Amino acid sequence: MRVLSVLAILTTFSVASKFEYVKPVSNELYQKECGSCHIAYQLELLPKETWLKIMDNLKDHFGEDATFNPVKMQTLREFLQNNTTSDLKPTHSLRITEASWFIKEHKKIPKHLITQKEVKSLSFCQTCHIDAEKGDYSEKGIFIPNYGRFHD
Amino acid sequence: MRIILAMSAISLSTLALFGAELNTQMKAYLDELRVQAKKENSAFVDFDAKRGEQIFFTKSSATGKEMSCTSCHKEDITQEGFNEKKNKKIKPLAPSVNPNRLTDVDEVSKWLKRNFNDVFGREGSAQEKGDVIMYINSK
Repeated sequence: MRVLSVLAILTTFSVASKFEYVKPVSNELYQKECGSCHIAYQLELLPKETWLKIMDNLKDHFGEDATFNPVKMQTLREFLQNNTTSDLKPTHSLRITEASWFIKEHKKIPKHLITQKEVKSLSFCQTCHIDAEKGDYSEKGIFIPNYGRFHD
Repeated sequence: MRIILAMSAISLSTLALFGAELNTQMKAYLDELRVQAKKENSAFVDFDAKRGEQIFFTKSSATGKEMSCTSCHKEDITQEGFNEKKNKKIKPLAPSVNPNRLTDVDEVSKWLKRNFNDVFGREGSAQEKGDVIMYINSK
């Protein structure tokens, strides 16, 4: 029983630390096409299968037509194919915010802090995670508007 | 000296009327749009910045929410814009302030298509696209 608890704690920590520091995206095409409306979500945040599904459904990208030059789209698809892993459990929706690890990490945040107009949505990572664009989602980098630092 | 002053005056007024000169790829894109516009409307003569300005300010509720290009890009396109939905600042559209604008055909055609859809629920016609480009280029 004790072994199981220790294992459970260790797993939680390892899940947490897996997403604390992720590699910032240096690919220019990805940065430009996928970072012009929202933050260029780092590749480690989703499994390969989900990335490819997103690429194959850009015509309806969460309600918008996000298609662009077809040749560039193909290049970008190859980039994603080659730079993502299948290590993560595929998300049941395509959203990072609906992955079970994400939900777990953000569970303790009072709802009103998310829905307040200074934040609006969990999709705007950089609003609270000051260094999100650098791939830094660590606790020390969190500053929630009208609240301040957040500790688990 | 007088000749220099006269020439400066002429080029500045040309700039005011027609905007800065577009690069080769943009010119080719506009030529393609002209051909398309003529096909769509045999009475088409050329693009017009004034018409483009009208389009830019036109409000539409086609997508369920009343909006216009100015909703995000603002009425003065030399200023920064803001997209409420995406919570994101938009760099000024005016080439006089942001020289990157109207230089990359892929970018221009992509955003025209997307944003016409956002406001009017349809892709803009070739004439509308050309008119809007002319308007933006005049700022």
